[in-house]
Amino acid sequence: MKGKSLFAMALAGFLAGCATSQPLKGNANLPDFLADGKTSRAEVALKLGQPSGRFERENILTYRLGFEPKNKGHFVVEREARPEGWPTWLHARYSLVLVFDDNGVLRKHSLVEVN
Amino acid sequence: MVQRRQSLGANSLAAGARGDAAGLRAGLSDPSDAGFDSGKARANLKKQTPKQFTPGQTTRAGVMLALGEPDAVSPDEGKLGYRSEKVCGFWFIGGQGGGVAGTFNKDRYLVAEFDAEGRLVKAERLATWAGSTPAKAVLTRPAGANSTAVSSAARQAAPLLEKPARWLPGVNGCEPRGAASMPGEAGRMLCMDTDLVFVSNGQFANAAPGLTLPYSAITSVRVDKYVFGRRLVVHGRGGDVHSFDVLGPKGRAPDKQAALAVAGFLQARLNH
Repeated sequence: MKGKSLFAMALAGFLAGCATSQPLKGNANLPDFLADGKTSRAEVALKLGQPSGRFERENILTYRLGFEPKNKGHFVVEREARPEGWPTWLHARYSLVLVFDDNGVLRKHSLVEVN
Repeated sequence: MVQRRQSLGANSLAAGARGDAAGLRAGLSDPSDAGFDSGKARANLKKQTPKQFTPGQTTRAGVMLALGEPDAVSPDEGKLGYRSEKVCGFWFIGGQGGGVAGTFNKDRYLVAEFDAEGRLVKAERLATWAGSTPAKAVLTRPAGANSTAVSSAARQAAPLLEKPARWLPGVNGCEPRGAASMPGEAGRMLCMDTDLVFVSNGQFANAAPGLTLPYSAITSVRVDKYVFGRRLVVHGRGGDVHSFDVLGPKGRAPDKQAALAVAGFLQARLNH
């Protein structure tokens, strides 16, 4: 009898564990703060962190964004590359490209669906 | 091995604009969009992609705004590389009781080449079967006459010794505790003329190396034995310490001979 109740408790604990949902990743409005002609490079760094790519003396920054369909959330993903030098896009769906002017103000941006 | 090439340089664009039949046929008869994307690489490269861009007009930023972050870049940013991977078929070998299966993949590359002002010189499509051509090889193919990429690439000093490795900054062999099982940062160890350099696999070629340690700043080099093989330990003059798991040619497992080769090279430099 004691064994049965222990088993039932263990089973209940296991099922409860299964039912506990992980918090959904990402923020549906993540890229919405970007405004051409207004947003500064510093604001971008504060919101998005380190970019995955820097080009033209940091006038072009790129970020890889993953996507969570359940909440339509975007989240920043690190660049993962293989030894041959080509990266994988397994965990990133979008590429965010930000072009700044010489004063560090966003001139143009685009969110490109890559994978 | 590069098997197929579709070029859309200034000449072919001009030919297309004139209605040159041969030029148009070259673009339309390319069946290289067959198959489906593997899901591991980018999926936004199409046969018509190069036609979005106009040599002499489209800028580097324009290409990136259209296609996203490149997959590879040359050190001088003269070339951007984009890669897709299509599954074109399946194979299976086996019989009763089991077998192995896999896919036939075809890699496609778009290499966009820019002049010194950052304007497109040409956008070229390449394709390879059976495995990826290393990014460096794709981007260092002979460039056009107007490109700055070749001269800059030629100016870059070649490493005297290069090995795939995993870098463990701040780790002294197997210290601190647990360091033996730390994976480290995967990349390449380059023994240059005056510096020991580590370049991470994850970084773009235009970024500064993760580590640049002048030989004159190294005080000691040793090779430690540990569970899975040998670990190279380098002490710097400023009290800094770096450990490296030097890997074999395939870049998978630590390799004793490779570690000893790098250690020997560094010792020779220290004694020089």
